[in-house]
Amino acid sequence: MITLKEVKEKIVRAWTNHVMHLGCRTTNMVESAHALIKKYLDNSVGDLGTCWEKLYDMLVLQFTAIQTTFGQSVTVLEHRFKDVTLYSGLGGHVSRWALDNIALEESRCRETLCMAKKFVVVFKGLFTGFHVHVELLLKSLKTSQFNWMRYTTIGLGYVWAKKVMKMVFLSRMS
Amino acid sequence: MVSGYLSRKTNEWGLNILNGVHNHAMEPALKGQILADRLKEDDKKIVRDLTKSKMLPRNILINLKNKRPLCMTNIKQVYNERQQIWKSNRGDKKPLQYLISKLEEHNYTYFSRTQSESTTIEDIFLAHPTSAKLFNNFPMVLVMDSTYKTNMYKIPMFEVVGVTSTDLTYSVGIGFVTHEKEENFVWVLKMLRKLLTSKMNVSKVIVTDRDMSLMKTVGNVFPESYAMNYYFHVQANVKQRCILNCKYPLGKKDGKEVKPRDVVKKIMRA
Repeated sequence: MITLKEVKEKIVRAWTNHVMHLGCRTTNMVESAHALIKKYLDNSVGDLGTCWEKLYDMLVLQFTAIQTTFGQSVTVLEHRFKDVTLYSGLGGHVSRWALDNIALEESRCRETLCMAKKFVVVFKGLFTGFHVHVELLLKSLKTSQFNWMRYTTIGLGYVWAKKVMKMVFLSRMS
Repeated sequence: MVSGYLSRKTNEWGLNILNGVHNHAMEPALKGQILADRLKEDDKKIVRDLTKSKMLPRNILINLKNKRPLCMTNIKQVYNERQQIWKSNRGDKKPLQYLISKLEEHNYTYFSRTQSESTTIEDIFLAHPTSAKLFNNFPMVLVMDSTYKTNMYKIPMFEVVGVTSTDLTYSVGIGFVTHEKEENFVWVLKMLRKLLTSKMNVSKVIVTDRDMSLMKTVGNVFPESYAMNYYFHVQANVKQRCILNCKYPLGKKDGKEVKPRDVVKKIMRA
């Protein structure tokens, strides 16, 4: 019991955090979206036509911003990830934000020294190894890795869990 | 009082002074007079251009004043001009007709529902083609909530927001629903499901606030996804339960009493 007590907070994650919520546990995200919309609407008495026009302008800018981050994720690989077995293969396929998260979890795993297990937990919960090229991912799903989908509840993220885990083992062996 | 006339014989203008006594002194400034206030044609063009780029009326007026120091226009004129622009844009269409024509022009996905046994439109749900595409690529997490004070009809606007792989939010779709009732939500969520092209990638997590009707419908329409509650509501719940359970002294082995607040914190951190 004593040994458990010390690491209790770390273990708790194994039971909780099983949901892949991409770090959004509040509706803050939608509240901020509301705030953004209201910024564009700038009054509360528009009719459907004016409302739509303003929303359209907002969407145009929003999509440009998203497209920009996609482009950056495809083209930019941070220096700390270059020539590292685990990450260099992921560059261009996994978004920078997700890479950040992987790096974070990896460092945590190295501290707690239970790598393989941790990674599964990580992928089940907070982790967001989401693909930039979804077509590629779907292709891999349709071919050999489809079976992994069946017995998991988290779906797409798990495929990456397996792939990354493989890479972790490879990097440990080498 | 003065009346002007054009003499037919000499073809010259003349002035007749009917009553030469003024009841007030002459105004030093021309501001506030209809003729001086009005926007000239090139001013109107400026207003039109700036309105197109969604500038606020006051900023448009500042721009006008900067460009023409002698301009005597006031804010009301700008508002009037904007109204005219909007009317001429719309033509003889009703707002709803205009909306639908625009939606079709931009390839929007939209659904509408009329009230039973009448032609009054009750709910509208619209999604930009790009957001539909994004939604099919990133359907993992959805956050939904409705907001008020967005339109003159005083109907709540229901917004669904998703998260991309780069930690940015995108709006999946926007619905105008007349009531925040269960059947309205059922309809909107069903329409939302229609946006998904393949059954494989259904949203896994749906975050809502503690609106009972919305919570219920999310469970019904998206049975395979995990409906999550607003974190703070959960915390409030946990707090309540803890206080109920902590009526008897909850002591640790070393005799210290545990504060309910600490318990709540511990539970929430998990």
